[in-house]
Amino acid sequence: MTPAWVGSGGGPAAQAPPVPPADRPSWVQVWMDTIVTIGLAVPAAGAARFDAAVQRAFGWFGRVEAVCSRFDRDSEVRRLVSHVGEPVRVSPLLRETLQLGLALAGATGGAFDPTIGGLLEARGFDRDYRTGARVSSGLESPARTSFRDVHLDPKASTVTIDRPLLLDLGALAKGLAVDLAARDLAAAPGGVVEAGGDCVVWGRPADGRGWRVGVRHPRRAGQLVAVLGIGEGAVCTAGDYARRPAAGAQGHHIVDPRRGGAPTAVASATVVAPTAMVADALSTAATVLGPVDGPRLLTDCAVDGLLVTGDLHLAVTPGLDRLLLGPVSL
Amino acid sequence: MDSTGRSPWRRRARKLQAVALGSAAVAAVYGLGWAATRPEAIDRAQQGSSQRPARPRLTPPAPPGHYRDGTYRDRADNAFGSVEVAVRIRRGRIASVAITDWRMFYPRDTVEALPAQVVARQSADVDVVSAATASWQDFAVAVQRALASAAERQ
Repeated sequence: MTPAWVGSGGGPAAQAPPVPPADRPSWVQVWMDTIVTIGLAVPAAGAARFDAAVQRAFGWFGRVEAVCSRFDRDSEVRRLVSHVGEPVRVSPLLRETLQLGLALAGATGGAFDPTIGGLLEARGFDRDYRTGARVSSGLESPARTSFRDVHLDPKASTVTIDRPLLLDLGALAKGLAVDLAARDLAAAPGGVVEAGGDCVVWGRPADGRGWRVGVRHPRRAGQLVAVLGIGEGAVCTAGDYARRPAAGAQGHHIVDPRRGGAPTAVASATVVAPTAMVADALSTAATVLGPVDGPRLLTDCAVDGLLVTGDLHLAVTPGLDRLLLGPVSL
Repeated sequence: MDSTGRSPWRRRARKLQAVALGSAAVAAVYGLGWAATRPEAIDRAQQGSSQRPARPRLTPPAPPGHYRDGTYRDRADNAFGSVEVAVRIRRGRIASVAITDWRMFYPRDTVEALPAQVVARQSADVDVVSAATASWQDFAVAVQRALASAAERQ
């Protein structure tokens, strides 16, 4: 998921790399198999006093990853799925992430499904980016698992799974880390946290105008489909161009949990929501649901979005007009 | 998928209030700080509750010289796979324990500390391995069975 280009001022045709302008201090680290960029709307000379907050903000990515990574045998989520048929106490972070994931799964009839880890692994998304090593959970028959096999008791903070399965909280976890990082930096008058297609903006850019978030064209590098004006909130794009599975396999990193294959109707789905966690999960769900039901889901969830179909048509929510800066170009 | 607007998932999606749920989740986690990422003390939480996995019934440590010398293999299985161990007895005592077959769903190294515990305690009564209870159970039961063979006709 690498679409949203963030910039302030300038025109929508500006150059594409997600690098904030030189007058805005920025920090870059690699987390969660992607590049995480933090930019603050403060004078470069005053950036040093935010260093500690920025390092703490990056720290959330490691914290969330240690809980949610399905590639790490020692992650909390992997330890959770090693218990079948018995309630396991989970951390608040895992509880909250799973609660949203399971609720979305129920509300989308399984178009979004956090138990998709086994299917992803079977399709070749099985390498730990930190080591390059293939990781295998040893899971068998992943196609038969669904979110209905996972039972969360939020009061007791316990999770019970009915059968061996592999949870993939990738969409929710990256969004959550972006949200948490942005909160750590709320003291800055404005800023942006971006991680592989998930971005949160707040406050005002250094030039005093609103944030402009570009939506990358799914087929033409360097070209933007649209530019969105965002006051405060998250923009996330899921795109079929972002990741490909291991050699030999077809498709991309988004899998339809109900059918097993990669959905082909949607090339990219962009969602604007108050949190990156919701925006990321809903963009994944909208990709699976397709150009007709995808925007309906977004409208039902009271968020706006923009889908580009594989044959380069546009499907938008009725409220997107309010966010568009300039025309949409495909 | 039904696209008439009357489909059940659309009603559920409208009721879900995903935006509020997401904001609440972020606020809850952020409010707890990094403590939110710390797994609960699983073993403590499970003490005395029905969540505690059934501990296999194990015999107390045998006195030295109790077992017949030789190597005894046995296995145990449960819903998540099976484990075979070989227990070697020398001069009536447990000299070594080896895992000779590992067909658990889960990685073998979760129990790698257990063979040494069996030797040190001269018993199958090894520590519970939190977060790997199925593997731990199979290992302990397999050792227990091997020791039962070693103790026969004494």
